[in-house]
Amino acid sequence: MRKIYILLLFPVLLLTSCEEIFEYHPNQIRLRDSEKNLTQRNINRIQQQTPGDTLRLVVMGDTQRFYDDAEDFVKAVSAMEGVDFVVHQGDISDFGLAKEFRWVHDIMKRLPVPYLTVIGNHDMMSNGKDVYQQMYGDMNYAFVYGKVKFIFIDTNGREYRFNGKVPDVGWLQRQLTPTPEDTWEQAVIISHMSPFGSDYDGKLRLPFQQALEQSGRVQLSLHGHEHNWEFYQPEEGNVTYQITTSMNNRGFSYIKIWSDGFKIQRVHY
Amino acid sequence: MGSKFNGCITKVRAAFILLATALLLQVPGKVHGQEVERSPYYLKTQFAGDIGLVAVGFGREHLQEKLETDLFLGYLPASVGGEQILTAALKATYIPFQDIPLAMLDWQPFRTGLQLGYTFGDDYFGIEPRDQYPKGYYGFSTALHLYYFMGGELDLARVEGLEKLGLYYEVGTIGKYLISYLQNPGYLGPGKIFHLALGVKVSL
Repeated sequence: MRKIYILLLFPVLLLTSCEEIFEYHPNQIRLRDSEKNLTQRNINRIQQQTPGDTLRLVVMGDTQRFYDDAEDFVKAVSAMEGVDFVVHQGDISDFGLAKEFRWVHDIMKRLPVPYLTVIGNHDMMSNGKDVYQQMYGDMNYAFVYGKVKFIFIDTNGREYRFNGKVPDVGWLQRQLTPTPEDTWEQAVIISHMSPFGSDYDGKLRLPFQQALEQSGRVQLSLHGHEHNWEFYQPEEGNVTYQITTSMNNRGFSYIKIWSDGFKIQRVHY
Repeated sequence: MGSKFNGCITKVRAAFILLATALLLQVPGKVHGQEVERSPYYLKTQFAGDIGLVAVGFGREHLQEKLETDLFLGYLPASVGGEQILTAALKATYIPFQDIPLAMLDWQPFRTGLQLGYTFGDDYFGIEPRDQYPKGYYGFSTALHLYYFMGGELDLARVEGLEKLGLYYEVGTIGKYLISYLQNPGYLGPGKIFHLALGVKVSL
């Protein structure tokens, strides 16, 4: 009979280490203030830094359910010097649950530099789009750092049943059209899906590529989703498309960008 | 969502009240002898447990009170959960040990079981829509959440006037968290994935 009393200890032991005692629903969106509006907060941090002639980015993605690997990634990047900021290529979560987004942010906030994200298809599962917007912000956004404009755009066409509206090429074209007061000289495109995969809306493959080429200001377009390294340099054009592998493959891209060139290094940790 | 969703809630709520009333009408009016006659049927109200802020359920005991099966309807208001969420759930609880008498209470030291929740709404799919995804594209359901739990129950068995009342507690987690933990034992731990739920059971 005594043994039965030990059974009582299981729930007690679990609870003593609990971060939040109650969870009402897996799809609840209950965020701390420090977990909201992260895109704007991190852009503000980046813009307080002083950009050099060469910008240095760490590009990674697809952290979905690879938390231990993501922790090791943060350790690896923390040992690097001179990184301006980190870019997460999307698929922050696996099931679109707020808890997953919060776990990933809990790991990524330990980075010594700010990080920015773009939404991935897994992040749109369930009410994940709402989680993303509350936690990070807009799904399409852009900002200027140094002489480079960074453009983050939702390209998850399949999640919209290939409705011909995602990615929003009109918005992209407007972002790529400089106004007289603009100081940026080139733009870098960042999205989860590249225009070459089967989950990208095929109707918008050429319009997307043409928008980049015709601007004359894009040399680099960065993507994730494939869980593999890929590199495209279409013959007729000046844009290089780089796909970075996923967290569980323990790799990231270290990218240096200057006025008329760039260098991509594939790093394994 | 909006009014259509609210209409749905009103209907389900009405159906539930009808059902609960029908069950209550079956409660015997008189108690014979010293032992309080207990029906195998009961109603439950639960706080948290991954099916809403509050859930109401009914169910019955089987196999000499070793098994309970319940049907729950849970509600999470937007003011608490960020979004309004309606959930239905089937819950099965196994009670392997006999009650331990503690003064006026009977204690069930260990209860464990599974719950399958279904979340209503356009944001969630039971199975992947085949007109949108190739077969097995995601390989999981966003509307269905399997929940595993363990806990205990205190029955107010010899408290006068409250003989039919039981209070239960449980810690539980969903399968999606559990698999994440098993694959990431470094970052995740039981404290990150288990949560407490509390409930009241009234025998009919």
